Amino acid sequence: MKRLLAIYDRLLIGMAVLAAAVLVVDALLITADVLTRNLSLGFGIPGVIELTEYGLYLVTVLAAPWALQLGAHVAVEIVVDTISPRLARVAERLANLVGLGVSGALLYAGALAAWKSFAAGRLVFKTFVFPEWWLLAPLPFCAAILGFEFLFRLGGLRSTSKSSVAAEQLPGGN
Amino acid sequence: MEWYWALVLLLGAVITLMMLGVPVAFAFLGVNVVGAIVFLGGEAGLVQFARNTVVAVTSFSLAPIAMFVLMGEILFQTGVAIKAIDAVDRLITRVPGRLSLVAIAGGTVFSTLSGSTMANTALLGSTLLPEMKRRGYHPTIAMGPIMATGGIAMLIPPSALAVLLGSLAGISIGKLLIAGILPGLLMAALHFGYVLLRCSLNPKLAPAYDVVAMTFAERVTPFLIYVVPLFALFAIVVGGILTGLATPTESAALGAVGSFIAAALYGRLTFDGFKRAVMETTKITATILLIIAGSLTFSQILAFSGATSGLLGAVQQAGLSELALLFAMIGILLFLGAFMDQLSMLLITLPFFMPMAETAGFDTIWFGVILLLTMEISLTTPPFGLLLFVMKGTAPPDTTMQQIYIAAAPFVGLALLLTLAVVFIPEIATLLPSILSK
Repeated sequence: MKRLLAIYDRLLIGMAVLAAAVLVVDALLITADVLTRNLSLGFGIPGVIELTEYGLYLVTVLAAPWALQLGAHVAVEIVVDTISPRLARVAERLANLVGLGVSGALLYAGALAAWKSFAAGRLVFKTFVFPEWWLLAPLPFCAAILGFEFLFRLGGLRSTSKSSVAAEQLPGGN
Repeated sequence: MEWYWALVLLLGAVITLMMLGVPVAFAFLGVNVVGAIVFLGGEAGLVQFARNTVVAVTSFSLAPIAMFVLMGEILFQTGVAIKAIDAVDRLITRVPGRLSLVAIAGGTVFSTLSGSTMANTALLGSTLLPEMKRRGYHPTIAMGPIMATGGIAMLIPPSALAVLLGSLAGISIGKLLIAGILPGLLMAALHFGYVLLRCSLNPKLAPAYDVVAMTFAERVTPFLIYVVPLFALFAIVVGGILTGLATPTESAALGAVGSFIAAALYGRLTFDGFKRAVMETTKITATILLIIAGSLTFSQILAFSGATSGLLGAVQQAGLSELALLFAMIGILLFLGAFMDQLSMLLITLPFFMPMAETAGFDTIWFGVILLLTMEISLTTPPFGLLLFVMKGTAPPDTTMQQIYIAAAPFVGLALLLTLAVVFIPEIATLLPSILSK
């Protein structure tokens, strides 16, 4: 089981590094587009807006499971922090069960949406033209990985405790 | 189902799941799953939910969030920001409450470079608080300005929350970012004046001490080297938007790349620092966007269930004046802010607030700034304001939560005062955006 967990953790880190690379490429592409457009070169890089949009989506689905593993997702822990440790453990299990259920539902809904799109042969028609299911498929994949994380937590393989400052990722901003 | 039952069930379910400790993103997604089945038509609703989840985050207007966070993180993780605070520290001499004033000035400078209240508060807390304690500063005058100035990052661009608000509420992001500048600077001035006044009236709050003797050049040179050039980054971000040469997203990306170049020019760029900055940005971006992923379906479910139109109708029937409506909305946000994060507050309230604001004929930029100010206040509102806990984590171990609450209270009062000023003098918020429109 430990070996499986180690492989899973490496997968999460690999996905997060890929997400980080996407983010950096996004920043560079947008900058190159603005510079080429404004510095009397008179042209921009076609499809930058679209690529950035897909990039944001990829960052979300690739890095969300890693953030969950780190306990970095924003959570309101007022009640959990003030109740007895025994009740807090019950709440924690319930929260993990809800997380597992949500991940399962997202996996089903995402897979269904991708399958229906594949079966109907739908295409994305923008600067880039490609089958729509390519865009929908990463969502159920991410949901499956998130579901594994909640399963590990429920199985006691992962600690879930974190402080009230868990909302450190807030924007404006966070 | 009557609209009020749908409203109670949907909002009640989200809040119950949050209180249970379910991560906010999963609380929204969970309610969306049930809402999609019940209100959006079973399996078809689930497919719609999955599509909405993808569409919600595949949005160019959300890109500045990642770029603004990256900009601040690069300056923070490479140590450039600390150098800037240190330079401000040398500039301020022999005034009552010197270190508190350094916190306000330094925090405001960092607010022009970072979109993160957390990073701002943590930076000031870790660099200045130990020195304040060593110099015998009273906790109220030491911690209060740090927490309050942390919140200014939310108003002054680059502000990730302003981008989120603009994107979710359909308000011009560029104008909203520009609109936050004046209130942000006024807030800093209010804090500055308050600390000066209190420390002049009661010097025991911040005992005077001899600042290390330095020549004028020694005081000014670090500021010229470490702060003035960084304003170029602020100028790139704000200037790009103001001149129309770049969209907010493009300006944000230029700022992020600019901060990278600045760190390299200062000789502070290391692979480790860069890696930390990028990974931290990735983590923060993913957590924010996963919450946003649920936003589209949530507002659709509220609309399809009749909850949105039902509540709007009830409010119209109540015949509230525009001012009463505005204060009711501010009151609701302050209440929610006492135990909820800013993004959740936005997702829960905006589907109702924006139609109400439009019906009442509010200027959306003005209204957006008021929302930002209210959310800034809620960051330091007891008992659970986020920055109060950040301060607890940064402050010396013997600091109590009660001391932190007392320290934050006067600054909450000042922020409320400024909010009232913006309510009654809308030009504070609308002056700069109106220049942008010309």
